[in-house]
Amino acid sequence: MEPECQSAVIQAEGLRFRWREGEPDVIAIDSLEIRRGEAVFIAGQSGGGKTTLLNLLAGVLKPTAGRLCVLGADLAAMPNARRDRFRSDRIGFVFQSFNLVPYLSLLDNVLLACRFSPRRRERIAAAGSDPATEAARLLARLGLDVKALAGRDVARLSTGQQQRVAVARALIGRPDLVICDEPTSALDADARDAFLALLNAETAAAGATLLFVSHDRSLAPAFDRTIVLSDINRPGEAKR
Amino acid sequence: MNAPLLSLALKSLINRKATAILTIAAIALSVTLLLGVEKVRSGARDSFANTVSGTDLIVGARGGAIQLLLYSVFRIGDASNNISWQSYEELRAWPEVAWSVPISLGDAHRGFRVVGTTAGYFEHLRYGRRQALSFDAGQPFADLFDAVIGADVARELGYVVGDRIVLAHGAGAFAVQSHDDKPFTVFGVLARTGTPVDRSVHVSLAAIEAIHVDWQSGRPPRPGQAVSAEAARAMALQPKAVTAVLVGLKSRMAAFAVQRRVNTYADEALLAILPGVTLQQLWDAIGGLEKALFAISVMVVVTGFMGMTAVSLGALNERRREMAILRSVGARPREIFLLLVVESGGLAAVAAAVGAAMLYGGIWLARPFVQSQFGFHLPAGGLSAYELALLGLVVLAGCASGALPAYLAYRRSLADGMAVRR
Ligand SMILES: Nc1ncnc2c1ncn2[C@@H]1O[C@H](COP(=O)(O)OP(=O)(O)OP(=O)(O)O)[C@@H](O)[C@H]1O
Ligand SMILES: [Mg+2]
Repeated sequence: MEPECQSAVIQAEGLRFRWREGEPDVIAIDSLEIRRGEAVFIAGQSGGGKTTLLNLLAGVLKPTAGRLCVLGADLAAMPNARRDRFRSDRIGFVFQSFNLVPYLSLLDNVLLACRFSPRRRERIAAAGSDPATEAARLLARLGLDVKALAGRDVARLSTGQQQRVAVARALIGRPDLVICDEPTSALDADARDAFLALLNAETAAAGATLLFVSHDRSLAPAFDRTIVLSDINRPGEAKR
Repeated sequence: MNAPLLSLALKSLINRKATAILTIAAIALSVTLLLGVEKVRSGARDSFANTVSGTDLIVGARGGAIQLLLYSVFRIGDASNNISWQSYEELRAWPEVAWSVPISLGDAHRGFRVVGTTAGYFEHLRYGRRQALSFDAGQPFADLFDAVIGADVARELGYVVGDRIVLAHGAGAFAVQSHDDKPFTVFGVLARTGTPVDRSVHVSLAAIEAIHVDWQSGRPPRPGQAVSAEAARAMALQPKAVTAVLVGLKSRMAAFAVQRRVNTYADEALLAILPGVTLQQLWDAIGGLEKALFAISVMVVVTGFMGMTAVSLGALNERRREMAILRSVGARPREIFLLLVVESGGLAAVAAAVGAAMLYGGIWLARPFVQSQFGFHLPAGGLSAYELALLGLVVLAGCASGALPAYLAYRRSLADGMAVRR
């Protein structure tokens, strides 16, 4: 009998993932636990499996073996459609770069998260607001002048501005977990520090757990805890 | 569940305006062609079937049945032989025959065929649903040099009752020998029928004799041998032959028997046809062409969609990032698939609507031209059930051509997750 999923945000045991049958495991993590409200930094070199791990945690990829609990739900056992729903309701995601859908406006890019998630809409409504107002509020808190930028093609925003829009999208409707895949690698040092401070403050204000991966270890001090991926992940040889 | 998808698809298409518009234009044109071929086909068929009705048999000199139908009814081509007046006299006296209308072809007036006939023509000829001919102005010819013209002749040449016209020998617009010594007076103008009658000039059989009275073996009179119009009036203008005879029977049951009797007539090689049967044969003969046209227009539509698929495949790589973002906010791979299918289907639906609109606009503009050049009426009407079904198929084909890129995107988002590298 497998143990029930606990209240920890992430709990993995014997987690294995390989892209294709016969290829070596890219992810082989015996144990990983992240507690609620933590801001965790996962450091790892390029090709080390950071993005793959985040895809597993976000329920986009399904583990090849092992147990994976995210926010109390057994992701490994969850059917595909429910994992997609789960992600849209509970997890915000920020990519390394090019986070915005080019044909949507600034506001629509943020609202995209609400479109696929009734739960986010309900949470905004419960707080006595509506999605558009909430999106504008978040963008303003992230230092974007919505009125001035509203009419602008999103592809014309600066990289830093685009990343902040992506954070607003991740945070809208108060998801429980925000996952960032190297969101600062395209920013210069000043912009990066400002971005990290904002990200930390806003996820904390939203009451979300923050999971942040990067190959750049110098970012570590900005977080509560650092996990070095190569310490816990031991990718294997090809199996017959 | 798919309201967000619809709005995404719409915005994505608007974002790629130029490609979307070009794609729509290409497919809309092909749809116009497809519907147009279909329209012409059904219009031609109706027009065909409407050309002759109420005539039980058509008799001509022995030759091809379709040829006989073509020259006697459609006024296309010429007879290779005539029927002697004597045979005609015998035939009309057969007990089964209720009425008979002889016609004599071979002359023209400014590109319109001249039909020598009897007053019975205006009485017995039927078109469409057994409608009789009627006069817009004037009445059947009375005098030797009276002519009754069809509606198109009157409209195109601007003739009214009382105008004088000159006939020419030989058919077609390039008839060289003019009968200018014996001018005719327009005595009646027929109401429009939508059949070749509209494009005919009718005179009496005697008039045909009169204008050729001084001709010898098909050649104009030599100088000094010409006979004036006044002198011609005094001569015996008994026709020696006619080109064909339209026959109405007392009982249609007798049609086959009479047909057999004509075909085995001993004194002269004759041919009788049942117009309905021969019309069907003619239609079947043209049917091959009609099917080929239809097949070509279907190919053109398919080409349009292949272009669309190619464009959409080409854009797929560029859109990997967009798909990854959609996945990250919770879109299911199935929804990614649907998004692309809806985009293609939407383009196809707009193109189908634009194509249909262009066709109807085109018909509206082209109708007078087609009526005058080809003698049939382009039906405007609404979209027939068949045409609606065609348009539905076009939209389905649009969705289908979106399916390949959509499937690739679907596979990719399953296989790669959000791990998109650039
Ligand atoms: N879609 C895929 N199909 C097959 N193999 C893949 C796929 N995506 C990644 N991999 C492989 O998985 C391994 C881990 O890749 P991953 O993208 O997770 O690394 P990463 O730590 O995010 O690297 P980076 O810092 O460069 O983004 C690599 O060896 C990579 O080649
Ligand atoms: Mg990566």
